[in-house]
Amino acid sequence: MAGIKRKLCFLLFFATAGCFLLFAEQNEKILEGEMFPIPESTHNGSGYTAIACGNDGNIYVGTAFYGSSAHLVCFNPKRKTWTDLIDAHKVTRENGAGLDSQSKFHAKILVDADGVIWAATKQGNEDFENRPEFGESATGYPGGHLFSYNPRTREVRDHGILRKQEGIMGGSIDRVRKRLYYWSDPKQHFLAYDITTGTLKDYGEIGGSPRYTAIDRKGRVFGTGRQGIIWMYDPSDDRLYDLQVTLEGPGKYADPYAIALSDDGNKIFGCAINGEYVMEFDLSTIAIRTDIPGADGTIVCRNRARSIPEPLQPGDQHSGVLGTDGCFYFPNTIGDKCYMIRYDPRRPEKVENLGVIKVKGHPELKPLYVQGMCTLPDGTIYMKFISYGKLMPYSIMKFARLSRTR
Amino acid sequence: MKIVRSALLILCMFLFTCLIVIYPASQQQSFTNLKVVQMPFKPGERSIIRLYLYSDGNIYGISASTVPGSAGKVFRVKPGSDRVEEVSTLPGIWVPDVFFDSGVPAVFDATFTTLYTLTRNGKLVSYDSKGVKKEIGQVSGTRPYEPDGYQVSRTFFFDSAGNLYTAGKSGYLYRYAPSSSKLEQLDVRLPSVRGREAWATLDAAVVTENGIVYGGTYDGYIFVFNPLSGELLNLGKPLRQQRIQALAVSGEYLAGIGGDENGFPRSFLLNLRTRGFEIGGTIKAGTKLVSESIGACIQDKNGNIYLGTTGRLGNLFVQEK
Repeated sequence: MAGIKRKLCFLLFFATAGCFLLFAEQNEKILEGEMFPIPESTHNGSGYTAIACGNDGNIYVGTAFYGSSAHLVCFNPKRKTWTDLIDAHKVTRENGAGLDSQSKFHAKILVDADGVIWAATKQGNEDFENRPEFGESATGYPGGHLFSYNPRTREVRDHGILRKQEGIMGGSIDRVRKRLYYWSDPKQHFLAYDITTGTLKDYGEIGGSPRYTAIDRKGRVFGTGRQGIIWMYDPSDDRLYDLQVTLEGPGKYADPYAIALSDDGNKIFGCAINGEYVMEFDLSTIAIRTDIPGADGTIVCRNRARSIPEPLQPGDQHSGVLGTDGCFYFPNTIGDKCYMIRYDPRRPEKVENLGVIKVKGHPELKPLYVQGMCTLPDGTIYMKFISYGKLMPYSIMKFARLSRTR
Repeated sequence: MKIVRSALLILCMFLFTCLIVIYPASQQQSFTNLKVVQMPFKPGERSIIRLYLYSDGNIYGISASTVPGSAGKVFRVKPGSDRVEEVSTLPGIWVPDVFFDSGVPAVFDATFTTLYTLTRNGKLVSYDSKGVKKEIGQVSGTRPYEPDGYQVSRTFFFDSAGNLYTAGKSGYLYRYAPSSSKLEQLDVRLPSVRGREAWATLDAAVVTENGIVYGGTYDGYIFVFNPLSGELLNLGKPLRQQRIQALAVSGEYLAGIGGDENGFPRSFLLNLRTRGFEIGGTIKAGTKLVSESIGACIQDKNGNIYLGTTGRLGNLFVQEK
């Protein structure tokens, strides 16, 4: 009899615990977005940082098509239609296969003041350790091309290969000086392309592979370099500087993965893969110094709010964007859930978890891995999700007016 | 039973052969786990173009500047140390115009009392211990259709008698005898594909303990040369790319790095006994690929290989024996 009682108690305990968990999960906030799959003929399931909102209100997306030709496609939110603008191999007249193909638009899509769209290609399916497409292959990867697309005239132009046998990554635009800034993969050289003259300048190695770069109101470009270093290109003296990061605040310093300039232009927000904190780099603290071994100066980084409210533990943070409300929005993927996080610099103690991202009308899909984001002037945020083994179609998702000024 | 015993014996002999042939090969230096020697210099002052092993056992080096307004640095590293220290000049002869010019070679004789270099238009020049310059003679030729395009060798080597060698016009070896001040073109040519003799200059060279020289050419060929007999043998071309950036001898192997200047450096090993190549692949320091070309290479007295990379973020690495 005592044994039966004991078994009943255990059963009751576990049943209660299970109900509690189920209740907690069902009460988790949900953030629904509208999904717009990217045309299947233009990719094979993924694409990365290349997404931007054009001046015309359209969304420009660069795809990845491993072993073949990447595409630049355009989404019209009003008509909900897609247009294929650039087939990289058709425009370049190249026909490389495998690692030799122009198989990714990875660099951030850049939008000039006149609305012209800039996009750039790289090699895909990289063998990061051996780099067989560079140097030893009889065919080899030719090098990433820079393209422009004018939405008014619909003209596509191929501006050529920026660096022989290297892909193009990063991406920031200086609309005043009419310059584009990228870095080359795999040798990590910082490049400046002058739009007016069509010329390129190579500033040498930056020492890192920053997915995102940021440009401030002075035209200075920032990105992650060697561990613990933020490099800065300053157009006033046309030089690259390596700034050693000085950390303020709790925890340890982690090189940020996604960065974005703040609304007031004085800070750069950042989040890191599995990063514990949202970071703020204070541009007013930049000091060029001669006494820092191996670097040109320093910059202060402050660890601010935890990147996700407790009890959740920080997960994959692969992208980030500034909203029209001045907040920094980024995804935090933990296990099989992707949370949308909002960091408000006016309330830096705590982030807001806006909820688990779900696809409207498709509860069976799992939007997990965000590879790019952009913001429209009305505060609508678009996110680019990869399919990652059929979790969902490779798509952009719309979060209408999520970051509108409140 | 006899058959079983014989089969076992054959198997054991096979395994033993594998052990002595394959196992040692996998232990040779192949530049996949380089250690970083810390350099305190700022970005833009770190492009290493020269390394010298001095008689005091220390390694001295020159890093050129890649930014305007900076002259470059001179440094010293003690074998076994994990960091370099800045010094004001190299001990002895100091000719900054030569030392900081990455486009010309600069080597010392064994006593460090004479410095040899080639000018940008291919003239052999020496400097004595007081820095007094002496023009010795024209060595380099021009490339076809480039009347001012001198194909200048990147380095020199010495034989046991102290004679200086380099490659010059049309790929011929030139020998300079300091004792008689005689410069002569030898009837020995560096290997090249027929028609590319004008590009056959000396990119890298290492002299073994028994005076045999292993060298690499601009087009990426490896050769062996015996200064006593004058015999030169083409050993082949391990990489598709041009340029041999570094050579060092390690036990039974010649370890090398090659690749175009704007390409991707790759390593190789030459078994000096079998004269077979093993293609090593990319070069790594920890998990990071080394992607810039090697500007200088030297071995210390313990056989450790020091490599200096070029570019804005050049580094000094050591491959321990």
